[in-house]
Amino acid sequence: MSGTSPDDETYHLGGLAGLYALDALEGEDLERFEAHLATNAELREEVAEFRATAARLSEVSAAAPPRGLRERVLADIGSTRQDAPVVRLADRRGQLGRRRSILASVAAALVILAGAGGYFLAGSTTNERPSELASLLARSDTKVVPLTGADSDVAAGHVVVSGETGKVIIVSDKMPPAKSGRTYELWRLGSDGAVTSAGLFEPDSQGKVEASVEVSLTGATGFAITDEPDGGSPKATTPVLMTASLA
Amino acid sequence: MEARINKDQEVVDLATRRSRSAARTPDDLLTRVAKGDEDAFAQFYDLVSARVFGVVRSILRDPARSEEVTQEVMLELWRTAPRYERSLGSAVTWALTIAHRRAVDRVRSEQASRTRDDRHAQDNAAVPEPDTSTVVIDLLDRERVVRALAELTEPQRESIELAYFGGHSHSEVATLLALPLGTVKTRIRDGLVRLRDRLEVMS
Repeated sequence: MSGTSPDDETYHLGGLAGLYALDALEGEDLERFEAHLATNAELREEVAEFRATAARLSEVSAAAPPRGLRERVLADIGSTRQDAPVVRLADRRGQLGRRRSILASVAAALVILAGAGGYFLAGSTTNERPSELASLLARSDTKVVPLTGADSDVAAGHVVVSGETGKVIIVSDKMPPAKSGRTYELWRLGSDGAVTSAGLFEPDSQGKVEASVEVSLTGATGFAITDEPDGGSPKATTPVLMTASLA
Repeated sequence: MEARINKDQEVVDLATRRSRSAARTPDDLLTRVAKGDEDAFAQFYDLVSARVFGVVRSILRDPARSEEVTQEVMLELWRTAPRYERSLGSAVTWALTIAHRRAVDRVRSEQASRTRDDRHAQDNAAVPEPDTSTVVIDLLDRERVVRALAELTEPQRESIELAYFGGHSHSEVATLLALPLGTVKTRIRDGLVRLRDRLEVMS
């Protein structure tokens, strides 16, 4: 068995999906699997089914919790603020088809380009350097890749990538602000399955982001974004919010 | 692993409550909880707390810490309800996924300083009195799951129970069963597929 055919790969991931749904994966196995999960909707569906199956098992071990716990929990929630809901970009955009959303993404990239170029022109009279974004967009090796939510085809922003310089700029004008004590972390997804931190960023209060990082793009297949505690995490600790594929 | 059913504990058969709770499914309740409805959360607690507590206790064993983690889980459910998305599974699946994860996190973070033997030694600690007044345990559903588990091959059932009820990792299950990692992975997957089909689970 060569172990390289797509079917083998599918079966291998399917096997890991079972372990993942039972919280039995650890360390590197867990990281690699979550990187696959970020970009594989079919795999997410399989995990969801296995999780629903595993949840049914809890009926077997069900046991009345201790007396008094209900009162304590209900007292706790009275003084606990709930998280803000995640604003779904798809809801704002309405019912755009996939094709139109791609056009919208391109249009958004052009608006960004125009905006950056405008700044460049305005600033050029005083011999200011062009913005990093404008310089990057002007390069021929630069790609503008949409950044999409885990369950949406609508772009939440873009990742501007220059393979030759290793420069990456995350651009958005509608990213929900990070909660207090939290920050966004960008992860580089490698073709070898490795997931490495590529830096931290935060939108301003209007949801605007223009964050630049430098990473090795050789062997990079894409990027993922998660919500992490201030200062970032060495490994992602929350589900992937958005991904951008370089493939 | 077979003594999971607490026959000695009084349980409330859902059949007697079903008529009045039919209009309040966990999913409906969670929608209201997401808007800050404390009364809906109290009802949600009644529907899921026995399953949350049961799975946490099967993993942690220690009654006091099981209670503590259950409290943390219930609070997390309240706090994160506005961010719940249907694509992550039903309200009950969502609650149990968080409960299992938190109990496993607790075990793994304690493992460095404490061995499993120590944990087992605490099994005789005082067991808090169960609260059977409001909590719902569905005996019919339980019976269905017990039957589905019995239809698995012994190796499949064993691997799944060690991981789910024991909170053991992939490599721990493999060590406990003296099997290669790949074999455990296959057994768990095949067993889950079979359970899923038997229980007609829809995500």
